[in-house]
Amino acid sequence: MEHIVDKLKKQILELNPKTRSEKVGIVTAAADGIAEVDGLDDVMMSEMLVFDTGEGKSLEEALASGNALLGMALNLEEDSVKVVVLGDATKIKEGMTVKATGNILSIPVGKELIGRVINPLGEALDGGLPIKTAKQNPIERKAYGVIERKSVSTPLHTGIKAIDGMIPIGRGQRELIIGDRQTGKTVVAIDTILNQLNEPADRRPICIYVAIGQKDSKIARIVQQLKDKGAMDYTIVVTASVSSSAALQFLAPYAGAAIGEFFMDAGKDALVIYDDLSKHAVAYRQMSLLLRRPPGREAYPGDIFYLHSRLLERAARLSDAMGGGSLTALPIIETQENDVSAYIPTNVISITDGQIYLETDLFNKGIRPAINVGVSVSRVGGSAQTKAMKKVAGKLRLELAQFRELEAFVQFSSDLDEGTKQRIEKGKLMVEILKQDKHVPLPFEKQVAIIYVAGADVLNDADKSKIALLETKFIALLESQYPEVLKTIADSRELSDASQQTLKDAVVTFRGANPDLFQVSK
Amino acid sequence: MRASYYAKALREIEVSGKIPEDKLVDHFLRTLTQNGHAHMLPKIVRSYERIRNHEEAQSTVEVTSASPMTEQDVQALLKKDPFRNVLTASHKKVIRKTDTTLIGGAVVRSGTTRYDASYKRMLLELYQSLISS
Repeated sequence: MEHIVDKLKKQILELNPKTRSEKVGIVTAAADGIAEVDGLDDVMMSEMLVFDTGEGKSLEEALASGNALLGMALNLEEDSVKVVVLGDATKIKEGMTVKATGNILSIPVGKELIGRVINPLGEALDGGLPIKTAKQNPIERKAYGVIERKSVSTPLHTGIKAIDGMIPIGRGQRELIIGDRQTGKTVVAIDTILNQLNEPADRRPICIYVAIGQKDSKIARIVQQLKDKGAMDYTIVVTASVSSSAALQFLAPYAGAAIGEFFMDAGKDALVIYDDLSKHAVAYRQMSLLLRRPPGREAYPGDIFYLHSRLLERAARLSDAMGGGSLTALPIIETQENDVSAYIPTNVISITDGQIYLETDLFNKGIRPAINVGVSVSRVGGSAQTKAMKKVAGKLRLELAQFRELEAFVQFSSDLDEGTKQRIEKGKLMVEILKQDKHVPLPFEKQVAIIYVAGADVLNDADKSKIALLETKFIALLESQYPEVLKTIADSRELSDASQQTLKDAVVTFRGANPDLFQVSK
Repeated sequence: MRASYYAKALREIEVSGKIPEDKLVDHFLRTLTQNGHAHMLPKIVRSYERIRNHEEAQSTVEVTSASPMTEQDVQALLKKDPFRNVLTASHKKVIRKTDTTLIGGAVVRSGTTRYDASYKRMLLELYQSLISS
């Protein structure tokens, strides 16, 4: 009690409320979350403005009205400034005073954010204590130039066999996840976050999940999943749900990037997921139309490409001189009826370093994750792939492509030559091997082991309907009887001849113990 | 052509007093029609009002206090810190206002610049500093 009183006395005595001159303007019109302000002659583009909601109110009412109502100057016109309101726009009244802060909109950044759910202004949404950090980063910042960067060379494992094997992602890369609704785009992103638990703590990136225009129920479910698996210990969730204003939805990915940059600048690795940029573009279109900017194709404003390119350019792998940190971006785009040639999908495809394409047909066939490996690419990830994975998955893409071509002939298999039949069988095995349940990411060394044995023609006679069980049992066998081979692959990141032989021996042991998982030879 | 250009020209001639006001309006409307810009009239009126309001705000000092102040009180206040440099030769009018919600102190506003030395602001700042520590 005494301690608290002393602390309060000290604070009151030390408070020095200096009266400074402030630049103020007056709201002349307000509608649809946009306020027109007169008198702010010196305001900067994207400057943070404060609406004086306490004006004319008693102290009690001013205190009860809560946090300051912020705005961001977006249209600097000849006579006035158009401001997007970042909060409850119903509080805005004509004649209200608006104060210029002289600062570009910024967000608190720091380790204190880890494990928290926040809005794009850095305010806690998880019911926890208010967030206090020592540093603030501007929401908009120029991306690093070529001198500060270096090539992507370190893998970022997703824990998904099809991706890590054929569409590898490197730290600092921008890999688009694209597909129709209900094809598992968010699952790929969340599994990538969950898989970071399999990484050693010193190599584990800080993950930032940015939810843009998502339903609150979905965000709550994702946060709970992350909490249940222990992934919130290295994850930050930035959310501007569908009930948030278009301005907050527009800011959300930039806030995520600003947080990620803090960790990148500190020499750490960060992963930011933008779920999704289609809704981000829609929010920006809404804002632009309300700001009376001229509409272009599909009513999107002319700078919609720049909106996404300046965001995704902030993903980088920094040079050693800059600390060697990285910011990997996994933007998500939702297509309509598989139309990747729509405006926003083509824009983002051309900005990113590759795309993971998910298909409804594959999803409905039970191939999950429903990745179409034929059209999915990773332009820079190959150089980041570990030697072990390169060795085992090198031929995988080609084999699967051949299988897809031959697949049409499967129903006439009796008329096919032996070589074609074998290729079809191998393709079927590979498709089954690449299937994976959601939220069960597989550590890299286990992926290498299973893809190796599948590709080494030692599982060709396996019962294709029991591959999932075979995989589980085989990995359990490796963990119990051959743990050293997994450790060797994980540590060295290579697959030596000795390790290959051990894996083959393990298959022999496995066959003896599980004859029911293999077809009886005729 | 921007409406503000017409508005600015109109205001500058009005201030210069080179021609009487009724003649000025007549000349202005004729010029507008001659240039084919008659449709811009509503915008020009708005822009003209904006210029007038801006000029008036620049030449006025508004002093708001929690309790009524006399002319002498205001003059004395404007000689004290932090308001010492507010009043300049360009100011033609000092408006006095009362806002009891300020609790104490005063808010002085000149054009787009505001000095808030009210007790209400200080108490709000104290509250913010207490809850954020």
